[in-house]
Amino acid sequence: MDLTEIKHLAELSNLEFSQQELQDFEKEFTSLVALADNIKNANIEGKRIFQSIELNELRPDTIKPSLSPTALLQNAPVQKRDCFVVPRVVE
Amino acid sequence: MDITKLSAVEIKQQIKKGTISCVETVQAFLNKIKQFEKYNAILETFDDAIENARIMDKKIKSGFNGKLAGVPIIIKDNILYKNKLCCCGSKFLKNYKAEYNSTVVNKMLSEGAIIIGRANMDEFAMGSSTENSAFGITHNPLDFDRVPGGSSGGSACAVALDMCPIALGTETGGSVRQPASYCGIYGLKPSYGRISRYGVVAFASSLDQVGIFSKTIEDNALMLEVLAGFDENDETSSKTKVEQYTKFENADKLKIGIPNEIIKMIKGMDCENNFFDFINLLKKNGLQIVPVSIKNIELALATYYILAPAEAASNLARFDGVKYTTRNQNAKSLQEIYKKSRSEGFGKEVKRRIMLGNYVLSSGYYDAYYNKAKGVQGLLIEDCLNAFKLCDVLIMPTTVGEAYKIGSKPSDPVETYKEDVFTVTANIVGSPSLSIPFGKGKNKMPLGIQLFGKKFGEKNIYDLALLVEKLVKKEANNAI
Repeated sequence: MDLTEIKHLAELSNLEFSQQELQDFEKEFTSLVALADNIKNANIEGKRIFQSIELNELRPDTIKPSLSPTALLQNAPVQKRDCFVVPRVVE
Repeated sequence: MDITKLSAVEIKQQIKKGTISCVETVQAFLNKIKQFEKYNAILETFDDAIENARIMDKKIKSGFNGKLAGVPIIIKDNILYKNKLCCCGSKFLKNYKAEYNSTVVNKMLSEGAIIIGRANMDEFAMGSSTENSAFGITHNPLDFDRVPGGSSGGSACAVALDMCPIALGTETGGSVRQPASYCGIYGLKPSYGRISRYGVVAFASSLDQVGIFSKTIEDNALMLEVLAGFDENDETSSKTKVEQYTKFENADKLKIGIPNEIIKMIKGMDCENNFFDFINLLKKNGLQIVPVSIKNIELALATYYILAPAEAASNLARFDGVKYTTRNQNAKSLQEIYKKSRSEGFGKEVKRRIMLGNYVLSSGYYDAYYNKAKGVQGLLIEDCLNAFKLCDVLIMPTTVGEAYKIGSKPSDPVETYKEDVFTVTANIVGSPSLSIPFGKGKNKMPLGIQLFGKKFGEKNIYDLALLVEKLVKKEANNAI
């Protein structure tokens, strides 16, 4: 794991780090990856089982009360006319 | 009478008899919380607790007989209670107020519980010491210099110090059982799907469950009876019948399985002698012990530290600076809002797990890690199914040893992750597991033993736990 890969991961994670933090990650990842590597030799032929249990069953298609936009927006850092506000995106 | 020493079952009885009122009860526990403020177990007590107790007193007088009528409860800081703060131990959510009630809160309220406060936790439930909260460290109730365990350390500490008879926590890889063990109380992680997670902030959705802390088995079983069951708002909740956990049955015919691999793994660990003491206690009292094998159990820790971060990285993508309270003020573009808000809002451990999660999910590594780990999960499920052909309940230590000193873990995060070695398997296979207090470590701190059941086998676990409690009491009396 080198610094370039760590920077790429930070990019994927939408996180910013100082130079020092990136270097710390480089060290930590060696031991984190070593832990994960313990499963490398396991023989998993045909063993991929999903834990989710019973079959998904949809409820009847009837309207039920739900939260109002006002209630749902109460935690928005910026909001206007029942919408979340973000900077204009023009590309 | 010191109300705070009573169990939930006793509180309910006393209130019903009219010996104590709900208001008196809630006040007694609020006083306890104030008295032990320095442990930093409780982030907030709710203003309306006394008023709600007053209302409950009237309701009980007019005949209401809920399963938790008048019982004060504390919830972990990641469980939504409408219009109350819910911060998940994170700076990111320091101003976040729940828009609605979680299903567990609704169920407790409808049975007459009074929710009196919210408990400290490792940020977003990531950690096993409650040293990773943005709101400070929680201390061990029995030794101020030690950790209470985590991530539900605040809830465990609260129960152990009599701030409430029952508290809720959450589990992804041991976050209820491990602190229960470190604090000397009972902690249940139910089967995956047993309790609805609607309104519980997600960490790793294929592993997360709500868990229960209590000082007695009866209280634990009572709370599970209230919380268990299908919820149309959580499609992973199960329709499997909810048993009457509080109707205890004789457990002396249950077959107890001991995984051979565990005996090897504990060699030289602090928990070793204590585990053998436990086995001897069962043997001495005629319980049938059978050796079993969970041959891939040594892969469980690695599997967990691939699956859980992978899901966490995806779940925590929702904290983007747009929807949930925190937004960096200097960010100019949408991309900058994401990056800067997350970078200033999340703590170190959360960032580490997001990075690790994105690593195991990233192209080129997905098959080698994530997919492989899902396969090993299959192996472990198969191992457990085979083991349960020979026995009813498995036993293993809850932790490697007793609670460690605050700040004593080395900087290598893997050293801390190793603490979870005995707890993660139950989460990976979806089994219920209860940590019961048993024995002491070399510094006289409590240790715990897990009673690990078949999926939806909570009834067997509770029955066995009650039997063990009796055997321990008998032993203690014989020793005098």
